[in-house]
Amino acid sequence: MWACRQRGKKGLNTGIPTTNGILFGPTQSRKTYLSMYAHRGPLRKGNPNKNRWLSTFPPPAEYGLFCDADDSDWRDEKGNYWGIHDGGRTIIGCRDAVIAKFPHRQNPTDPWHGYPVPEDDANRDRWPSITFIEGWIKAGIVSRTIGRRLQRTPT
Amino acid sequence: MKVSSVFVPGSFEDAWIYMGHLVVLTQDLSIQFYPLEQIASAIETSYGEHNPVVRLMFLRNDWLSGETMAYIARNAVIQAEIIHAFDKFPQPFAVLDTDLRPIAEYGLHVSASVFLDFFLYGGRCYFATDAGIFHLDVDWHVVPSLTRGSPEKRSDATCYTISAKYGALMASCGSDGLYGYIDEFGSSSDFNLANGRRLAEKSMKIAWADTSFINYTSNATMDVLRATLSSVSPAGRRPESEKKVMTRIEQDDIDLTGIVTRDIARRGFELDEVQFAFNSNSNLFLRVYSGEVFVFTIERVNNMLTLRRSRQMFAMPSRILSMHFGANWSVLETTDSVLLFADRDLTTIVERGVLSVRTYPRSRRYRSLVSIVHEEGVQVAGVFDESAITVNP
Repeated sequence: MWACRQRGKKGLNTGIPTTNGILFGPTQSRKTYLSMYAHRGPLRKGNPNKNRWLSTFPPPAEYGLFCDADDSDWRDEKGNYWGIHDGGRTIIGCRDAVIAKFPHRQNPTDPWHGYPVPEDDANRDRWPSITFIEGWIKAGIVSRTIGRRLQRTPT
Repeated sequence: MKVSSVFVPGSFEDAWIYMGHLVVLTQDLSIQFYPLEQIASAIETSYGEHNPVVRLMFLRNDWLSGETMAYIARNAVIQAEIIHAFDKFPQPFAVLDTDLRPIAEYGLHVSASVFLDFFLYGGRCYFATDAGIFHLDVDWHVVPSLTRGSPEKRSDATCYTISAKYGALMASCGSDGLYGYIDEFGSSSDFNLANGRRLAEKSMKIAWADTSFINYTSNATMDVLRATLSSVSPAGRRPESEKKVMTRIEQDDIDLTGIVTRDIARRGFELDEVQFAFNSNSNLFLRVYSGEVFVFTIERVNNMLTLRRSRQMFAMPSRILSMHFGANWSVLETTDSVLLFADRDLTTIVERGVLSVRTYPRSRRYRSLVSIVHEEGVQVAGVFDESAITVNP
């Protein structure tokens, strides 16, 4: 289900462990992706990092989501990519997160990375804009019901 | 509790029941008005004119809960007939014949791309959009008509939710803040402060608690604002027959967030584990991510709002999106259902996510109604508390 559809160097589609995470890629547009260890593991009390993928959404799924965002050009005006799985019906991150952000890289040679964004962590840098989500609704990526819910999340 | 529903098919975004009409915002950014009387007549024609449910449920809630009905229903035969009529009403809803057209429809020519909230108050339609707040004055006589051609823009900031009471409009605009429009209709001769004033730096939503309201600045952090009210002047306009209007608003000193933090800590929860919080006039409800729902009783001490210790209500596996209050029941909107909470029981009204849910607790005739907008149309559900006629006074 989450197998990456891109063909690259041997090992890069199943992921190569590095010190910071598991490296995937390249995608069709020649991007590499790092599933970072910092956004994995259980959410513990007192741990400020809320942006963690669920264990049910493993690194290959995370990379698959990035491939979808890259292939579909789900990119905002600031160069960030945004991902959503199963039309927003499946939770991918802690605190019921259904959306992922893949922030714009400062250095083009760095691999991309990403993390889930829960609605209660939404702010103007950490949530897709209303017009961006409207694009998802119009393209049928999310239903109108889920899209409006995402648009009504205050930032 | 019994729930009877009517379904009006269409591509709607939001709906209100107001001044004898079902008022809907369409997906094409127009506003439509359906007279409830015509909806009731069409349903009676399709499903049997002699069923009293339609009129009692969708036109005259005040008859159903009034003393006259309780007296008449002391007759066991009449009581049984009324309950039987509710039992045989089509479930999950009676569908309105699609040939019924709205009595009026107007295009909303606004610069916004998305309507985020919709509120009717003082005969006026308010729209919260990504391009700010707009309002539209409607003349409600016979066929609703617009007193101006297009909505009037009130602000530029993206507005997420709107609420109005005591002649004042409160607009929650996320990190742009909370804006208050006091004495919106010039009801008090002493004040005319209809220009928006920033009351708080952040606002996700607000909810009234009598003459105060709670401004939610995140899922779990909240401030209390207290209103000063004045009587409506003899010449003043009385929105929703308000006897008093807000003339001043100030921050209350009470640290409600601190009270909540200490209370849930004794249950082993931290504030950032709160997924949802909202309040009625008398209770504050809170859900944590693990599913437990708690309720705090709201009290007033020296005219300041405070909370008593919480008690656990029930477990809710799905994320709560909104909560709405009726006469002696409430409605919970979750990501995958709409539920009625009454008599300590949860009853499913809709088994999937919806676009909007509204209740009308301040209405005389529609206080038992819930309007629920689906992608395929609007469901108007009537909640009937049979104990009103089965329990002898």
